[in-house]
Amino acid sequence: MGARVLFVTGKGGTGKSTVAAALARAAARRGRHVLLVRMPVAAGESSDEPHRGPSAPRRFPDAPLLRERNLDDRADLEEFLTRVLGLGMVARRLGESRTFSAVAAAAPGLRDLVALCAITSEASQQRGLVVVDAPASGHSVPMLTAPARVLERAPLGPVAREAARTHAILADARAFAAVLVTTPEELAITEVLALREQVAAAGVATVRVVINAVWPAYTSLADGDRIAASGKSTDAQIHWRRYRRQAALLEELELGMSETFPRIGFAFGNELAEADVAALLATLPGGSA
Amino acid sequence: MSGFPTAGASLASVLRDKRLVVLVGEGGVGKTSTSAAIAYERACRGESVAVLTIDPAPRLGDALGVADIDGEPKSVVLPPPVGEERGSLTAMRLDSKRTFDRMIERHAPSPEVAAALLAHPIYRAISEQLGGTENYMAFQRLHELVEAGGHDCLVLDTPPAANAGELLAAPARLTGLLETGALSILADPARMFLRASGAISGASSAFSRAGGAVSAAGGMLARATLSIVLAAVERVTGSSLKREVSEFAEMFGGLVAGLEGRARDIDALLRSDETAFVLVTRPRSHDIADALAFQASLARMGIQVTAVLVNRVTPPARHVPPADHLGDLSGDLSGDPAALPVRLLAAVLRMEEDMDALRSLEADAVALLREGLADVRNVPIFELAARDIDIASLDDIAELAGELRGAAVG
Repeated sequence: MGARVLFVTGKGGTGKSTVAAALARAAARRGRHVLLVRMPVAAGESSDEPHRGPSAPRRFPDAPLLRERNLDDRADLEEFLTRVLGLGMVARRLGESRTFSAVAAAAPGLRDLVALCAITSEASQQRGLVVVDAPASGHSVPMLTAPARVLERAPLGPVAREAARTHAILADARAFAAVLVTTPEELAITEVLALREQVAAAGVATVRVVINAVWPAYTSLADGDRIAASGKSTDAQIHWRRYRRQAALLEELELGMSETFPRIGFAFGNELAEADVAALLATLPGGSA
Repeated sequence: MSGFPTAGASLASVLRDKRLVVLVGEGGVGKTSTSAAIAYERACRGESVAVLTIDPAPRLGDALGVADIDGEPKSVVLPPPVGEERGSLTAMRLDSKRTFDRMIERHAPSPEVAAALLAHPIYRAISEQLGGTENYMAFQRLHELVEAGGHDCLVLDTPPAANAGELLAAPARLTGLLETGALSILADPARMFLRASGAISGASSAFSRAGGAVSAAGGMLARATLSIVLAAVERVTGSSLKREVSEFAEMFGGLVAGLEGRARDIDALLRSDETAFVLVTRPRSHDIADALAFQASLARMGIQVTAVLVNRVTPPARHVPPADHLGDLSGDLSGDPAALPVRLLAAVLRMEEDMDALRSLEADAVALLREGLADVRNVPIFELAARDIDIASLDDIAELAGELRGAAVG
């Protein structure tokens, strides 16, 4: 078996990239070989620039077991067309940027599948853990649901075989986990719960919702209320009200769903709290060595 | 620092003579509540206003009376007029699927074709799954409202989009894909050669330009390649894709002219002097970077942002010298009944430290915004203070509307 995959996504501004990087570092510190995979720039944005080809993995002197590399969607599509469809001739033309844009724009489902297949085949050649800093959820969810959609529509042929292979990995609770990062805000949480259902319905066995940037409390409920009521410090008042509001929202959420969600504290410009990240990692496949 | 049109102008005054206000920005920055407040402010001035929202938070939806998705206009009850004549406020929540269906019904050559299209598997797949459909529909709905007339001002809360291309190019992507892309090639290969040199690549609207990657000159090779790919996909998947596609393209072909005309109308509307784009963001470096990218992508399409609104800014600290402050907190020797016991002071100081750290993060972010807008003339930056509670009632919206009348902070 190859590397486990942690596919970290979330809405823009939820801190998904920070969480992905922190998970990767925490796992590397615990002796796992980790590859942090970042996404390419969207094709629409980069299509007029010359194609530079896949980049070599970056290494970090302070984390010897951690490597990081960017996916290259053009190279991945080339590989997919050649290997899966036997269309090497078309694949070679992808060097021409407009051809690539046209293929990508006309077959959005194909592109999602290609990106996901690239990740799972990368993982099969690795050991340890592959942490994917996936695109924002609007683009990630179509990726995660691509194999199921392909299989539903066209269950035969090489594309379907590739989709089935990927689908099986997603359905293996020990091999693959989708980590959906949200902030503790009503709208964001409502959205992330809907996404979780969509992703689970598409056959992803492990889907974890993580609440990031949770506001801290430094005192008991009674004392905090007393501080706020005293009106002695406007800042403490704002701080405490913000805490109470979030706590009420999270309590309502966890009671309503009958489950608890891993939380990561608000970072105030610092690194994420090691203990929070370690606790999250321990709940994920491949997280506990 | 970017200059202001008028020193001390408020967001409300900058938008006063606009008949269409489009709020853009990432999800979760407060576009919907700001849209509601802008619309409310205008209505209180005696105007007839409609606000079109996309996906309001449940409590905000309740406050506006649009908690259910039905796309039907709801009248919002306004408070008694203060002095001047009272206007009207209507709130609507977008239902993309229904807007799409209505558009098909309207542009189809006959009710039979419309019915066949609505039931077609490819139409269902596109209308439910294709990314960007919601953006497209928001502007379609807007166009319907403009055509229907009867409003002094329309406020559009757009779906979350990472860049203007994603937001505004949707119509081109859709018609471009359907017309010049795979579908028409498969339906009628000869047609693509006519199209390649014709209408699409020559059009100069923002929509067409944004979709240019697919339709621009040089696209012929791309399309030829595309047809090979699609044919191959079909061959290897053994599906009935080709037949379905030909059927669909044939039926859809009759609608293309109408849709293109519509896209041109919407484009002209968005470029009008009476239209304002308000970019909403939050004071976090990540959000500011996204906002600047959005502004740049709009500028590339020839659209200038009217104002940037930094929402949910932590209010400034009261400046108290630390020594006095501790005495103040603990009541010192004054016997103040609200004085805090000494054991709580450490918690208070930590909270104050957090708030200062947060302000410093926010100040860095707003500085990034100023720097990023330094080369863009006349884009005022406004700030709205963070609130303790979510917008949950019309009173909250009224309060927010009052803040929009306040002077620019930045």
